[in-house]
Amino acid sequence: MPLLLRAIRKSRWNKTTCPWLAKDDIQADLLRDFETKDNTLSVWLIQDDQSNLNEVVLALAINRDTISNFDYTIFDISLLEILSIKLKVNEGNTLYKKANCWHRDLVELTINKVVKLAESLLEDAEKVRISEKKIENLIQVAVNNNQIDREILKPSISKKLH
Amino acid sequence: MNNSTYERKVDTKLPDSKGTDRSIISTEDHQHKEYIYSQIESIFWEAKRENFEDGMESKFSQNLFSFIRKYSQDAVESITSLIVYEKVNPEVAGEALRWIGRIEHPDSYGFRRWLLERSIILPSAHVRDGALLGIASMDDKHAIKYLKDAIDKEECNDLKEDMIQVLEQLES
Repeated sequence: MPLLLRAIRKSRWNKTTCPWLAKDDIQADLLRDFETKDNTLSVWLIQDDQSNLNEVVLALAINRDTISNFDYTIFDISLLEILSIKLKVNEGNTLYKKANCWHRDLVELTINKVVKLAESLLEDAEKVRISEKKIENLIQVAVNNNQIDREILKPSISKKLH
Repeated sequence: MNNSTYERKVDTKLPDSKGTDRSIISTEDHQHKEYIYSQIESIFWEAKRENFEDGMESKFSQNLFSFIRKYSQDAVESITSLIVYEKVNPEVAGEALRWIGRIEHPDSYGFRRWLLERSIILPSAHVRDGALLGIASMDDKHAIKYLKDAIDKEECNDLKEDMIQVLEQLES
């Protein structure tokens, strides 16, 4: 079963940031990682063996202003059926063209669906952090292997590479 | 800003590169530092409205960079006071610490590293996470002992795992 990846900011998912929070409740700031546009939410399709994971991370990392840690949550696509959320193929718009075909949108979202998705991911989904150093290495290797052209990178990223 | 606020600020005992006691300051210096403090306080206050994303510059990060480049260690001293005494929104403080580890500004390097090493044990998990990411950006082995202490004290498992990851990076 394929997976879906959503970039997040891991510290927002940490319940200890809110000591006042009831045990069965969720901090509202978590919804900042679910900011919708036209009632859609951007996610990335990850093959079930995760063989394209690094390429998706690379695509998202080089679209940023600077090399940074990369936090994400990853979940089974079957969750969408449980939550009655529709998925639509919409090509991505990153500098790493090869990865753009893996972009998807969660569409026709409602407040209820977003909250249920947030609840499910908070409870069950894996939350991962890739360090800044590893992201730098990932980009460096991609440049060395001619997987991406150094010329297309933002100067703030390119200058940190060898 | 009232005097009591400023007295707490100098109590942070930021190390002086010349070894002088920074708590003994002239009236002129005092006014200058108060001005700097009020400026950075405004920058932090305005940042509460921003939605930060990892690796993306913001109005806040740009203002912070300009401020540190302009006022160097005095800027870091004021930022230290705001963060250590929890006078600012924790998420904004965490965001500041991420960028404090990243800015290329040799003159303030020691002061910024000092702030990050101390912020890694502050009460807010947002702040500790920001300090951790700042330390990871600096990639300076000097932080190892502070990070080890923080790992021993850390009660949040997720954050502890992230700290161990950074420790492995610094030790490699």
